[in-house]
Amino acid sequence: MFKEERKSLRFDWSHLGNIEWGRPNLGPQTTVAVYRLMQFTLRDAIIAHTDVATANRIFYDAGQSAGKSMYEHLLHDTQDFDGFIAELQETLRNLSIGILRVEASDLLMHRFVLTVAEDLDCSGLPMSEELVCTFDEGFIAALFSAHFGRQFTARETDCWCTGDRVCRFEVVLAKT
Amino acid sequence: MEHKDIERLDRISAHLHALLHNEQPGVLDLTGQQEDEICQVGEFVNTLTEALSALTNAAHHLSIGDMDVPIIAKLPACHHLKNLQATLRHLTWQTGQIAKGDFSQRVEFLGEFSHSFNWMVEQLEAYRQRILGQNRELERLASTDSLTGVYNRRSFMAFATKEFLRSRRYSHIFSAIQMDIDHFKKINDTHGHAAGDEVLKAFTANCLEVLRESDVLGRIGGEEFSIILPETDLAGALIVAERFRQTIADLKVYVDEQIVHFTVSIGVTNLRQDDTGIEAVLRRADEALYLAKNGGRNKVVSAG
Repeated sequence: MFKEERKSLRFDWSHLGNIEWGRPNLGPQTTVAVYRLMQFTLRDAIIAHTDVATANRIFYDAGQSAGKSMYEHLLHDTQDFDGFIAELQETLRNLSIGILRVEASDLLMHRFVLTVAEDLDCSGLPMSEELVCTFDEGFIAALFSAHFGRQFTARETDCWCTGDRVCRFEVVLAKT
Repeated sequence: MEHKDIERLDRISAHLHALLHNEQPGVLDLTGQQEDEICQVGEFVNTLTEALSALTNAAHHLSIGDMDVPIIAKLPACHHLKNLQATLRHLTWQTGQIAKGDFSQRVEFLGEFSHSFNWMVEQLEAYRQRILGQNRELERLASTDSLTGVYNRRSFMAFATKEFLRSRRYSHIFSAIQMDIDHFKKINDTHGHAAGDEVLKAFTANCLEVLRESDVLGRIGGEEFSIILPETDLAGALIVAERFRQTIADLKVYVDEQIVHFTVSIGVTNLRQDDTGIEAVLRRADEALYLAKNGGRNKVVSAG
C-alpha cells in the first residue's frame, strides 16, 4: 500500500486512516510548525538527492493528487462556479489551510486569479525571493480541473517569501 | 574629522532633509570617495530613497484606485500596501459578484468599511427578497380570482392550452369538466350578493378537496367553473364529476343564520384525436353542460 514500487500516483483517501480511532487522546489536530517541518525537510531531502526542478515537480504532482482527492471527498460536484468558490473558501478556512479570495474570474477564457492569505505553506516564512508554494499550485490546479472537468494549471506569481502578504495564483486551462 | 568628511556628511544631511520635506532628491553621488563608513551610509540613504520613491508611487496609484501598479516590496510598509492591493482587488471581484446577484459575498479585513459594506449587501438582499415576494404576490393576484382563490379565466386558459399541447406531443390523455351553479341568480336575488359570494367560496373549497394536486380548477365566469384533469380518461372524469355533484347537492351553506342549498350541472369530455385546440375540448364540455341544464339540472352529462 505505502511502500510498493509504482510508476504512477496511487494515493487514496483511505490512506489517511481512521484518525479518530487511532488517536483517541491526541485527536485530529497538530500545529502548522509540524506540517512545515515535514514539508520543508522533505523538500530539503529531495533537492539533496535530486535537484530543485525534480523537487518542484514532485511537490506539484503531490499537490495535484491532494487537490483531486480533497475535491472528491470534501466538496460537492454539482455546483456552479460561484458555489464551488464559496464552498472551497469555507473548506479551506475550516481546515485552517488559508483564506482564499478571488481577484479575477473569466469563465469565458477560463482564466482566474486567486490569492491565499495566511497560507499554511508559507505565511511567516523568511524572505527568500523564491516562490515556494509549489504544492499549492498543484493543489489548486487539481481543484479547478475537477470542478470544470478540464485540465488546468496553476502558477504562483506572488508569495509571502517574495515580500507579499498573500500568495497569488494564476489558474488557466492547460495547453493541450 | 576631516573637512571633506564633514562636507560628505553635510550632503547626506541635506539629502535626508529634502526627503523629509517632501522633495525628491536625486541620487546621492559619493563616487570617487573612499570606501568608508560614511560612504556606506550614503549607499543606504540612496537605497532608502529609492524604496521610499517606489512606496510613494504605489501609495499614489492605490489612492486613485489603480490596483494594477506593481509594488516592489523593499520596505515593510510595501507589504501592507500589497496586502491592501490584494484586498481591494478581491473587493472589486466581490462587487461584480454582488452585481450579478450573488449576495453571499461578505468583506473582511477592512474594519468599519467591512461592516458598512456587509450591511449594504444584507440590505440589498432584503430589498431583493421583498421585491421578489411582492412580484410573487402580484403574479398570484393577476392569475387568481380574488374571491375564490382559484385560477381566473386567463390563467386557466393558459394552463389548459399548455396541457393540450403537452398531451398532444407526448400522446397523453386528459379530461375537461365544465360546471355551472344552478339558479345562481336566484340565490343572489333571494339571499343577497354576500350570500352569493359565500356560495361561490364554499363551492370552490369543496371542489378543491376532491381534486388532486395536478388538477386545475378555474373560475371562467360568474358562476361558471372549468377543470382540467391531466392523465385522466373519461370514465375517471365522470367519477370525479359525479362526486362533485353529490358533494354540492349535500352541501349546506350558512348565511346570516339561514341555510342555503344549491346544486350544480356538469358537462364532461375528454381529449379526442381530432381536437384541433383546447377550445374544441372545452366547447364540447360546454355542450354537455348545456344538455345537463336542459335535462333538469343537478346532473352530469358526458360528451365522450
